[in-house]
Amino acid sequence: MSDPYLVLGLPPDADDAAVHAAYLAAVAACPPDRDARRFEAIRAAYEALRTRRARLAQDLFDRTPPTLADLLDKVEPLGTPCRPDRRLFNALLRGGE
Amino acid sequence: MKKPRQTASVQKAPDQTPEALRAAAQGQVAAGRYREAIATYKDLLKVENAPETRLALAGAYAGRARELAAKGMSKEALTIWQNRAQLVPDLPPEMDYLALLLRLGQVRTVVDLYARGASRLDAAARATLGSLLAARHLGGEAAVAAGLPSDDPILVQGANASQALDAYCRGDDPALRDALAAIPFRSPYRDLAQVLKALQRASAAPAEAAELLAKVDDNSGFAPLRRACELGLSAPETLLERLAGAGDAARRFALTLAGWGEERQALWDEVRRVGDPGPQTMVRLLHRQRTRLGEDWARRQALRLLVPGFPKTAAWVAEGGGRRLSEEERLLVAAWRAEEGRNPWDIVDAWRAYARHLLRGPLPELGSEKALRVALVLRRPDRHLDILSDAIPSRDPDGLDTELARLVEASLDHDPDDRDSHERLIRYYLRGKDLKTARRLLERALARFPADLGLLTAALDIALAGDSFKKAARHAREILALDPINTGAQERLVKAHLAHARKQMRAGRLDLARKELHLAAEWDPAGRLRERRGLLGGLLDLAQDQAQGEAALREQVRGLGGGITAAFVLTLECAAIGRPAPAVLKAVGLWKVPIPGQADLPGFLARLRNHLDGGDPLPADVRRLFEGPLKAAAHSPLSLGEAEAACDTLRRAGLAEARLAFADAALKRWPRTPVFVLHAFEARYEDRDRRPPARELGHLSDACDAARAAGDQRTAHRAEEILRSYGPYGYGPRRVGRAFEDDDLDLRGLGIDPDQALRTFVEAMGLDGLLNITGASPKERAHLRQLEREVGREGVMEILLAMLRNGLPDFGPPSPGRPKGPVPAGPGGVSGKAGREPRKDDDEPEQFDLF
Repeated sequence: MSDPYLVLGLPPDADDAAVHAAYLAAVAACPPDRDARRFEAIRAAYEALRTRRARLAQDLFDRTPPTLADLLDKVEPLGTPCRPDRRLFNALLRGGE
Repeated sequence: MKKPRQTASVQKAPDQTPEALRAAAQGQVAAGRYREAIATYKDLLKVENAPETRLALAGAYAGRARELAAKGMSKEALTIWQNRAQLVPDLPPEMDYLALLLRLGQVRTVVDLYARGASRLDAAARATLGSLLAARHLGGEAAVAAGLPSDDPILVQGANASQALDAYCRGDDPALRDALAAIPFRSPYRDLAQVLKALQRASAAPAEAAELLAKVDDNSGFAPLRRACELGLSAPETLLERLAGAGDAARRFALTLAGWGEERQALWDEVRRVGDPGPQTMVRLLHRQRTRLGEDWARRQALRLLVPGFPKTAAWVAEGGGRRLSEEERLLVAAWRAEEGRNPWDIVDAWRAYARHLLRGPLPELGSEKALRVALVLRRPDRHLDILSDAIPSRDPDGLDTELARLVEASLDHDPDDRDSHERLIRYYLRGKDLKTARRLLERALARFPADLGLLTAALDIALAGDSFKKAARHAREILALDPINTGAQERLVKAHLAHARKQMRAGRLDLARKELHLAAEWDPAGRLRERRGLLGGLLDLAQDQAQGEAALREQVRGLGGGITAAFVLTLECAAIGRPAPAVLKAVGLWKVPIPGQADLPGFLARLRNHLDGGDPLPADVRRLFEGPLKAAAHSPLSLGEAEAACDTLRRAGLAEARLAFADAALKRWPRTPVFVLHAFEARYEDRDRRPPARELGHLSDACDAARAAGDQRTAHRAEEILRSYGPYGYGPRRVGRAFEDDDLDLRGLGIDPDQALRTFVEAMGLDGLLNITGASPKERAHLRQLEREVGREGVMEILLAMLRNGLPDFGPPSPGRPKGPVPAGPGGVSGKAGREPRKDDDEPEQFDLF
């Protein structure tokens, strides 16, 4: 995922306080010792959005093309693992794949 | 004409004996040629209808059925299985046959076979078939319940299994545990229990969950569920890749398990329909999904996809159904595109054009978003190229650095609160000794950030550079008030006072020199520069009172050990105040510079290196004084590493004779060692207008080969460079950087060694600085970084020096007219915009004799 707003789950009009709060929440949810790569991404996203200047610079100068993961995350961020319902189980139990 | 169809049985010979037919059929089965085997067994049956022949034919049928099923010919395979069943009705059904029936939806047939013939199956096959039917029953397949007796375990334990599944789905873990506990170990639902336990443990213990899933066999009726669970529990970053071969049911299950919501899955479905999306397809997708994605976001991301092929790609947006690019969008994408190129001026022009567009209409209000955008855009070329951080001002009005500095200064009109830009500009002008501009910018910056440590340090440096010691002291006090342990500021101020004291001594103003010395002492309470203060104080005493001065200096010299190191430090101080050193040395009892002993030599060389590291060359009269004693010390028993370091330090100091003596002494101890051959050669022939004899060149060539073989790339490269210079097309003994071979500029006439000047410049710039001003692309930088890891920083510097001398195309000779393309190297380091048109005749002549 390359879009820092998506990494931190922020709307495009987030201000300094919102960015900071989202960063703290993201770090609490994913501390560096649990997933170092994810933490690096969170840290980089925070640096990219930390100040108003940084956010404008991100908008003006970031030329990273979007990835498919970006599009998916933008439409609906990845949720927590979910229990499939009985209908989905039945389809597989009847031999469907 | 049609080709006659080959019959299955190649050797259809009714006259063959049964034994021959049996042998042939067995061979065909062993070779996997089941179709032929079936025909041969049929022939055998015609002559010998024995039960074992029928069994053998049934075996061939099974082989053929599996072969067809593997090719995806399910119906044909089913027919063969049915032939087998008719041929020997008592045979128990094969699992592959039953699985095929289930796949084809003939559940009732399987149930009947299970009910009639389960007892004929072995235990493993019975368990597998049981799990297949149990999974179907649990999945809601009514035919299973309809065909089984009511006391069959599949039906009896089905209720518990169903309760367990429902409890999992609604998240009722206690009920799930109870229901699972009610499923016996040998139940046909045992695999379901493993799967549900794995799902329960997945988040807390993923490894344990994976182990539980691995217990479900591939033939089990619950295997499709196991596979979908494995997909859903796989790492998020590999999930999409692993989903590629999954069917609809498995994909939906896995994505739901992985936390994908409906919207996300719907977009993924559309992406799958599109196939692997290239950038143009992505642009179309972004436009089509703009409502889901957000109009602005989708548009901005689409612009980023246009960059690589812009402006040709601009049409993609309209082709994908979007509105044409606005002027602002075009200018922005053009600037992004320029950043992917190597021409710094393209980047400057593109961002300037964008800024100009933003500035149309009334000036944006300070603090507004528009003003910030303008400021950021104006700063962008410098931030992207990273020039002003270490460039020395070229003072060329059309130079790249000049233009970048202009843009950064203009950016401060729109965003004066960016302190980094203030400091960046101030440091840039300070580096070029343009103190007037630096002071003007500093005043503006300090007005906004009066207590900024970085800006106050810049103020201190500006004051020191302008010999404004009172002002420097004031700034130092301000810095220390903010940061009481800032030793850097203190030390700079002490050094500045000492420098000023020397200046006053040279001018004969001894009272003022004394005052500066006192000030230096005041700012040096820790005594970090005590030694230099003491020597200077002694020299000042000597100038005012010979006896007192001699005593003071003797004391200082004694403190320094009284040997060559003391003589060296004192000589440097004498040179700094313009006083002949021999008389002073004599006055303190050093009638001549002592020859360093084994104990003194490392300390002296360390002092010499320290002096050279400060960037000051060794004065010629100091060289003259020390060359002799050092030559005499060349036979000191140094280690190989120490001898090499000594030669290198002497090279840097320009002490050629001493270097030669050390290299020769080392060669006596370690004959033909490449690095010493090189030092000896360079010391003997560098800067001399005579060609070395062929024998010497031969030795150097051998050393070059030996160095390469030993992995000493640095020595090999340097030796190769020298050898090339003496080759038929070389440029002879005068190994001078071409950058300095300008007919109008006779550096040698000015007493400057061009090669040394180039080396000094490159060393002063450092690798990063040099790469910045040469406009090296990221790829070239990465290549040089890799090279640095292989041959060391010194090695890379040597290579860069060679490139600058020879003007390789990638970096270009630092001729002032080098236009577009990477910024050429040279003092000042930036290209003039005036010379941006390429000159075809810029190539350097290779045979200098002809020109």
